[in-house]
Amino acid sequence: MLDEILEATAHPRKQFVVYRGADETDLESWFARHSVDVMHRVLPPGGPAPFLAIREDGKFTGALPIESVEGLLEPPIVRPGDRSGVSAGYRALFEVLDETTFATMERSELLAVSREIEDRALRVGRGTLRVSFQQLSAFEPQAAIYRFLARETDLDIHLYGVEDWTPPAIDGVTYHGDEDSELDQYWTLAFDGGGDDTQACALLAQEESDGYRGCWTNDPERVQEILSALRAHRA
Amino acid sequence: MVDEREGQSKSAEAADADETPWLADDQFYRALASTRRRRLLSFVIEHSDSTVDELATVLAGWETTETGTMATDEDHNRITLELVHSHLPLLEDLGLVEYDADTGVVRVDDVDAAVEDLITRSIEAEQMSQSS
Repeated sequence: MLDEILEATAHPRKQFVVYRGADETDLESWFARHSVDVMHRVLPPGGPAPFLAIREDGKFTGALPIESVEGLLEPPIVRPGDRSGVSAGYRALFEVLDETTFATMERSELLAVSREIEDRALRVGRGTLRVSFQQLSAFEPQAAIYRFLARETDLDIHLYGVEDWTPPAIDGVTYHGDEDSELDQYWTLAFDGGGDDTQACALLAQEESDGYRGCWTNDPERVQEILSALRAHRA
Repeated sequence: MVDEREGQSKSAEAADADETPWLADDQFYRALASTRRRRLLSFVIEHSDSTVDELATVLAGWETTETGTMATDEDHNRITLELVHSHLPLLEDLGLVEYDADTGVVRVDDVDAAVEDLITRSIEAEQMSQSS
């Protein structure tokens, strides 16, 4: 089920155009490394600093300075709730780069997106958060964060993964350990928005031999699909 | 202005006494009295295949590099309206640009090197005064 959802996002709806001087920007090489098509147009002499324009289904949806986008190249990883060091530009990225499938994502990049989703769940403070850790043992270094999330909110938290470790009991957290499951390959988080569709968001990433292929979404219907696919693994 | 005329005289066309009538035309300076018009002219001088939609993108993107905040589709729509209803008709009346309302394509029309140079230098001067 998750593989079908990931396939459905593989047809890009967004187009990226970098406006810049003569030199290629780091962002363009980053996009290229992640197999995302990006075009460029050269700005006139004496023109502005480079910026990124995003189009969706042929229509302009946003533009932002490359300088702020480059946050994604070295993603800020901070605890949920401690976002003071995260620039507005980085937050904007989470909005504008959704529904785009990135190839060969690194763990640090996925972790940054995961933190964004956990932080939203924390701020909303209610609703359902479902997370697949591939193997439950991968939850171990995150246990403190989820203990904090469960304590500070009314969230209904469900954690999935191949059962290779016995996680600690936490109030508000339900574990669904599988013996053997497709979840083995998937790093996934989905938050239903707690009744507010504009807060719904999810990350879906599949581990491949050379890294992860993944995308995130702010589309409530897509988020529901991912939630249902995870719920089907209720062990 | 003396410099431009000298630069211009190096080109073969400059033999024509009608060359560079712009630089003595009050309307021309009124056309250049707007930051957005100077910016859009500088872009269409570089790109002969640009469109209203792209020019609105460039102007919105240019502003986002100054404000640091993301330009939204509303900003883009607002600038598109300004282009279509104000800036492009003004520049077209003057004969500075050609605008095809059906395809949206915008081109510079018969602008000579002295005018190009003036626009480029005004853009550069603006960037320099911002960064200083």
